[in-house]
Amino acid sequence: MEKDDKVLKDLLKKDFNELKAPIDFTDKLMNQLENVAAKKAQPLVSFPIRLLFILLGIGFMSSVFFVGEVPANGWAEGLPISEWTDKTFLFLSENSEILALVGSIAVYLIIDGFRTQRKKVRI
Amino acid sequence: MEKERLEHIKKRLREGDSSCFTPLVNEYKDMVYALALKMCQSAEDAEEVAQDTFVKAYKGFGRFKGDSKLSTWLYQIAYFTAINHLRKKKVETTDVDISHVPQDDSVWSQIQEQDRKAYLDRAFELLKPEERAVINLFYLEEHSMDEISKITGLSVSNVKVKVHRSRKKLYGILQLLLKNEINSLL
Repeated sequence: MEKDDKVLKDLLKKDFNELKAPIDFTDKLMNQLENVAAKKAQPLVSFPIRLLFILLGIGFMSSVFFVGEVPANGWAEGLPISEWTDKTFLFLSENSEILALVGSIAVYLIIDGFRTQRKKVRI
Repeated sequence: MEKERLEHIKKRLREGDSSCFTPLVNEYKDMVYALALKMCQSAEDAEEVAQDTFVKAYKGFGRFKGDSKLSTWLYQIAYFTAINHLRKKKVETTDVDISHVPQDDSVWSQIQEQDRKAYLDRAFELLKPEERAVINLFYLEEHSMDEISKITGLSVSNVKVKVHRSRKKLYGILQLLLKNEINSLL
């Protein structure tokens, strides 16, 4: 059996050492790794940040509903401020849902952009 | 030196530099591919398994502490990736009954030298993937029993039993093949 084992060992060693991975193996693999790294760099999946923006959006929107009807001259009633400021407040209070949504998305995208830039993959 | 190299690679991977993985792939791709091919018996499957092995290694590189050799760790990933791959593909191996085959201590002496490789390949096809892996890892002498146990997830005593049984089965199959060959000639 020992003699047989030696033959088997030699055959296996020779065969194993002769086996080579395909020529384009590394290139294919690095492409795959590039995709993996790119996925890793996608910050959109970060749950806490999503949650923060969802809460922020809900907060903005619900505040408008709870405030109720805006006075005729806006939130600046009784305050000695200009007509232009008054109109701005009125506009903001009437369109706060949209503004809140757009603002949240904008801030989200800015942070998202920074994170992606930081994790940009070099291959 | 090895630890320093590992730490350096880890650091660069954390910084998002995947290119530092290329030398590692070039160094180990042949051995990972060879084990995958031995287990899967198909070049296409072996390439897929080897690719998956390195992707898994890349993803989990930060968790590799360097307690074992890097080759042992990669073999371990390749071993389980191949087993899962074959399970998914539902590749079935025929169970060969060698209980009636008489023990002959000189099977290779009955096979001409130039035919030995072909016989071995045919015999390997009839072994289970785990048996193929264990025999290869054992006879390559690159890994100790302890390392083979780490690769396969079996205890050292189980590895010894598995090696013994797989070797016995292999010789039994070789004898069967030889007998069938002789019978077909008569």
